[in-house]
Amino acid sequence: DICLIRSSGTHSSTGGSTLLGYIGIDTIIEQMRKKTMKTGFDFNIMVVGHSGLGKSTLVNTLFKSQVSRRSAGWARDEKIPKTVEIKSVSHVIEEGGVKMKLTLVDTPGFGDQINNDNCWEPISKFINEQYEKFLKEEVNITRKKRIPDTRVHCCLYFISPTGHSLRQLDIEFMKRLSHSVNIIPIIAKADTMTTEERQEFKQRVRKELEMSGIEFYPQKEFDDDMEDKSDNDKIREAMPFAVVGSDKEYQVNGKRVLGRKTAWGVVEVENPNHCEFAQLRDFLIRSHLQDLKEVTHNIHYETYRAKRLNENGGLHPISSSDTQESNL
Amino acid sequence: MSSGERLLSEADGNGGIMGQQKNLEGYVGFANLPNQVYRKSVKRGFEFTLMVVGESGLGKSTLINSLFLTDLYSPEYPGPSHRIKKTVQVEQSKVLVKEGGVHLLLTIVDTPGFGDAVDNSNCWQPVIDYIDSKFEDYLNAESRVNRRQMPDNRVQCCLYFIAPSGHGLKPLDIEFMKRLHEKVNIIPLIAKADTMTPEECQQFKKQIMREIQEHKIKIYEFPDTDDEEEMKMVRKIKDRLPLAVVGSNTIIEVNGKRVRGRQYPWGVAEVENGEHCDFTILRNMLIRTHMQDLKDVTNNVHYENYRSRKLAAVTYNGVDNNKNKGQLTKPDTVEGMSPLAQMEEERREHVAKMKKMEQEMEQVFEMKVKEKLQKLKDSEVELQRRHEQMKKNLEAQHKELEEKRRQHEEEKASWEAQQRIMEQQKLDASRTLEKNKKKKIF
Repeated sequence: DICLIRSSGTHSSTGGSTLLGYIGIDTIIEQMRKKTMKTGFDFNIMVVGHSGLGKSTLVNTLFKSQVSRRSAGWARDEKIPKTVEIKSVSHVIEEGGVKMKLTLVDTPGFGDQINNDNCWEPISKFINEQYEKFLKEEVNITRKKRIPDTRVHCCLYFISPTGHSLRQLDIEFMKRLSHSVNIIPIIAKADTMTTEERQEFKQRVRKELEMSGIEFYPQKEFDDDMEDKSDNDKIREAMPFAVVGSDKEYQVNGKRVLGRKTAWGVVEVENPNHCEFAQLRDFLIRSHLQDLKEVTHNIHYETYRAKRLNENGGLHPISSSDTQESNL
Repeated sequence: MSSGERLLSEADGNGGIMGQQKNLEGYVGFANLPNQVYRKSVKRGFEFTLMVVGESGLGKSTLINSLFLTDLYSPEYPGPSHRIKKTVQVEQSKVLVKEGGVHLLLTIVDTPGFGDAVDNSNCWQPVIDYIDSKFEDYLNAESRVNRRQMPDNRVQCCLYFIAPSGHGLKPLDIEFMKRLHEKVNIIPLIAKADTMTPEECQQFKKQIMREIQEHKIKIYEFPDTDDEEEMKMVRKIKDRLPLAVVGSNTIIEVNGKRVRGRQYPWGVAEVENGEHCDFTILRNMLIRTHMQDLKDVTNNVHYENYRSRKLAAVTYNGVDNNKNKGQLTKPDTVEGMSPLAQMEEERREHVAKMKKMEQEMEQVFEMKVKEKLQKLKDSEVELQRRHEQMKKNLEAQHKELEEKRRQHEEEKASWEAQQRIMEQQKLDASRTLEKNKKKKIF
């Protein structure tokens, strides 16, 4: 629906006749907004990284509420699971009259074992299962008015701040999953590194990602026009963002800020000199949230759908209640 | 002098040395003994072997540089980002540190590649093999007849770096420590401690200690002493295990003082500040107070364990070294192999080695001779071939020349024939001319 606004925005000047009076076409934006506010929208975010990188804390900080599993009673010293598990938690949060159903998918056990071969498979399977669910709903004769969207819109991959380079596991995971889901790499626990170390590390990580051919979000090939390209170029230059998460507040210079208090100072989470959390949050939520959903729907989902429909000569729904023949 | 009395009474139990402390009537001077020992050891110099284990990027090299205030791992040393190691390697570097007239030969054993691969099963095996091989070297050196040179390369301390996840030990950490706690003194350290706030650090330490106890891992234990002061210090150290360290060799100005630390936009984390991290405790413990104890425990406990296990295996089988002796030595004698047997063994080994070397050299010689012969043959063949070719060339040229000569002869013949014809013609012509002339005259 929102694409409509964009396209109408770009085509407005082509061959338009001069309006003789005020018609009111531009109120469509207002109508869309009201509708969206009523229906609300879904956003599914997955966090991947081995334990201890601050994933739960970061998500709590991003959405300024206790949305991660930790709040649901998961204790800090829970044992590391023997295989990768997928646990998802949903919350409905509201801001400015807009409701959002936020689903957080966590992957405990990733990269924690001694032998981490194929630990990305459960995750890949989960993502494809969500696409499959959506595809099945789409293919039904009687479709629901609003297909519940459980597809993963964004995958935040946490890179360990070793200061040296990416680990083998990071490259393997991102290589295999960058074509099925939007991957946003993040450098976790950025308060481990000084500013110079951080710059060097970022450059090295970016070079490695380039060399391995990993296309992270925002992907270069999906830039619509020059404006998008220049915006996204700026973002791509600054990625991966080095972030610090915290849900505790401290008093600094008379203000209350979110931060981490150490013996030598307070790391302010939202201070751009200290870490890039604010940039990540603006990028993820305030400017590119809808784009993430669109890329997932128009590109990743379509890729999956095309592949699925081309193999085995078509889609055969398993449930007996559907008598849909595949003439696709 | 209570310890003195105890010593005398112990001697009493051992064999009846008259155990009564005699009061000295004058100054004898053996109170100077410690000084003599001290001077001798200083002259001899000290050795210490330290192993560092942990994943890449935990600050191991920086910490070693900070501990010993040297640049063992200089910036030119290829860091983990440049090293492409597919398997775990074990590397050792030696550095000689001098301070106050005391020499310390420090050997640092590094394990690059540990825990970096996707599949890290058995990444501890190279480490175990290395430690065992050093024990074996020392065992062999000890059992030799000529023991003058006994270099001690046994690993006396292993610093294990735990990543500051804030949650607990990883399965890899637990596996590694379980396999190595009986072979070497393990001192677990929390690396990059400036990642955590003080509360997180406390919780993390408690969690780690709990897990260590749960898995019955025996980390290095500080010995109890009688001295109250020392006990207090030891207890303080024990409370803060595992030590959370930060390493740095860059000097920063803080409040007019020059300290070593890491500069962040929100403050400076000082390396030597006890409230910021436990670096000073580690350094004091490792270098200033417990170095000798680490060496002793390695020698008396870990090495002896290795030794008794190795020798018990040998004497039990009776097959290994005491082949010709035939009689099994008692398993509980301290000297498992008599020096004579050892000497015999060595001699036999030496002879065998010599024979083998001789054989090898002969083989090499034969091979070289063969090669040379082959080469000569080859060159002979080559020369032969060239000779043939030249002959052929020569013949070809000869033929060509023959051909040319023939042609030339032919040409000559034809030319002569032509000449003759022309002469004939000329003759004919002159004859006819004469005839005409004759006719004309008529």
